[in-house]
Amino acid sequence: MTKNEYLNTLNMLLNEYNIPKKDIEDMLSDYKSLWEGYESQLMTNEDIVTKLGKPEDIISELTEGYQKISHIKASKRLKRSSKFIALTPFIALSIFFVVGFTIPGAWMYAWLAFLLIPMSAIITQGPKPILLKLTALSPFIALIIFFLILGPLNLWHPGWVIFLIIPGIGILNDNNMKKKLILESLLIFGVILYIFWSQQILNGEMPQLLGIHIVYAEFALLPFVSYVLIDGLIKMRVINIKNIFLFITLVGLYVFVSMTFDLWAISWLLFFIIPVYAILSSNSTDKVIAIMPFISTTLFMLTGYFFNWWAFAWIVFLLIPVTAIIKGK
Amino acid sequence: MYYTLKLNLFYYCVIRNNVLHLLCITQKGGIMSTQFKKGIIELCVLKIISDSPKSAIEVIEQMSERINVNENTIYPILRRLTEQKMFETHKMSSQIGAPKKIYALTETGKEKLKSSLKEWQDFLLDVTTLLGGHYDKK
Repeated sequence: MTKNEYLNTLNMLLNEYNIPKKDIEDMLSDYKSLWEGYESQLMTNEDIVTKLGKPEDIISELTEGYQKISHIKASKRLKRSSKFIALTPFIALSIFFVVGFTIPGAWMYAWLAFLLIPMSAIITQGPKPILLKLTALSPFIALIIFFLILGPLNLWHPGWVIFLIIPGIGILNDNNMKKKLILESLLIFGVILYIFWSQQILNGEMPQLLGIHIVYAEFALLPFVSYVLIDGLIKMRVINIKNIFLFITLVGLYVFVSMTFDLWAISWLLFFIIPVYAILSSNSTDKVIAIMPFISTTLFMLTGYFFNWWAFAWIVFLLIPVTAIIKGK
Repeated sequence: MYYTLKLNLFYYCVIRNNVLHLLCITQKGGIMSTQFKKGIIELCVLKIISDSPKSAIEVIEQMSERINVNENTIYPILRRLTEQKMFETHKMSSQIGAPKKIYALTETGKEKLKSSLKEWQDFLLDVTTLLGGHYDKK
C-alpha cells in the first residue's frame, strides 16, 4: 500500500462518520507526517502500514465518540416512522368513525381502517426487500379487497379465492425457479378452474373432469395443495399427520359450513385456526399477545354479523393493545 | 537494611514484571480489560511528554522501547488527550516532508498526570500489600 492509497482509504473511512471536516483534514495531515517520518527512516511501505495500523483496524479508535452518518440517518428515519406508527391507532379510529357515521351500512367495512396499524408498521419498519414486505402485507391486502370490493358485489363466494394471493406471493420468495413456476401455474390454473366449476354448479350444471362428475369445485385446487403438502413432507422428512389432518379438516369444515348455512361472508374465520395453532405450538413467550388480533377480529365479525353490532363491536380491537400492555415485558 | 532493600527491589521487580506480563497477555486477548490497559498507556504517554515536548513518532518509539504495546493505538490516544486539553500542539518545520506536530503538556495535563500517577502508585501499594510484600512509594 502506498502513502496515497493509505491516506485515501483512511479519508474514505473517516468520511463515513459525523466528524468535522477540519478534524478529518487534521488527522490526515498527522498520518501523512507520520508516514513521511517513517519513510525518512528508510522503512518499507509494508512496515509503515504495520507501524501505523491498517485504516480498517484503526478507524474504530479514531472515531470513538462519533456516529456513522448512515446510522444517524437510519436513526432519524426510525424516529419519524415510529412517530407515524404511534399515531396510526388515532388515525384508524377517526377513519372508522367518520366512515361508519357518514356512510349508511358502512360499519361492516369501516373496521378495515384498523388494518392501517399493522400495515403502517410493516411498510415503515418491516423487511427492506419489496417482495418480503409484500408477502407480509398480503393477508391485509386480501382482507381489504375481500371486504371492500368483493363483499359489496355479493361475491363472498367465490371471492374468497382472493386469499390465495397469500400463498401466491409467498411462493415468489422461493429460490427454486422450477418450483416457483410449477406452483404458480397450478395455483392460477386451479383458481380459474375453481371459478368456472363453481359457476357451473351454481347454474345447476355438474362439471366434469375426465368423465367424472365433480361435486365440489374445490377439487380444482387439489393439484396445488397436493404439491405443497408433498414438498413440505419431503422438506420436513417427517410425516406430520397432525398438521395434514388439521388442514384437511379446516377446508372440509369451511366448505360444509359455507354451503350448508350460506355463511360465505363469515366462515373464512375458520382459517384463523391455522395461525393461532402455529402460534400456540411455537416456543414464543408472547402467545396471548400474538393471538389476540385473531380473537378480536373473530369476536368483531361474529357480533357484527349475527347481532348487527358493527357500531359497537369495534371495542373488541382494544383487547390487542390492552393485552400487549398487561402481558408485555 | 540491605536485606530489606533487596526484598523491596525483589517485590518491585516481581510486581513490575507481573504487570508487564499482564499487559502482554492483554494483547493476546487476556485477563485485563481494554479500558484498564488504555488508562495505563495514557499515563505512560502523559509521562513521556511531561519530560519534554515530543512529536508523535518520538512518543511511539519511546513507548515501544520500554513496553510491548500496540503502536497503532498511540496516535489515537495522543489525539484524544489533545482534544481533552491535556496537550497543546504546534508545528515544527522539518527538513524532510511535512512539518512535524509537537505535543507539549498543558496545566490540565500536568494535573491529570499528577492524579493518575498517584492513583497508580496507590494501586501498586495495595496490590503489593495484598501479595504480602513491601512497596516503597518514591
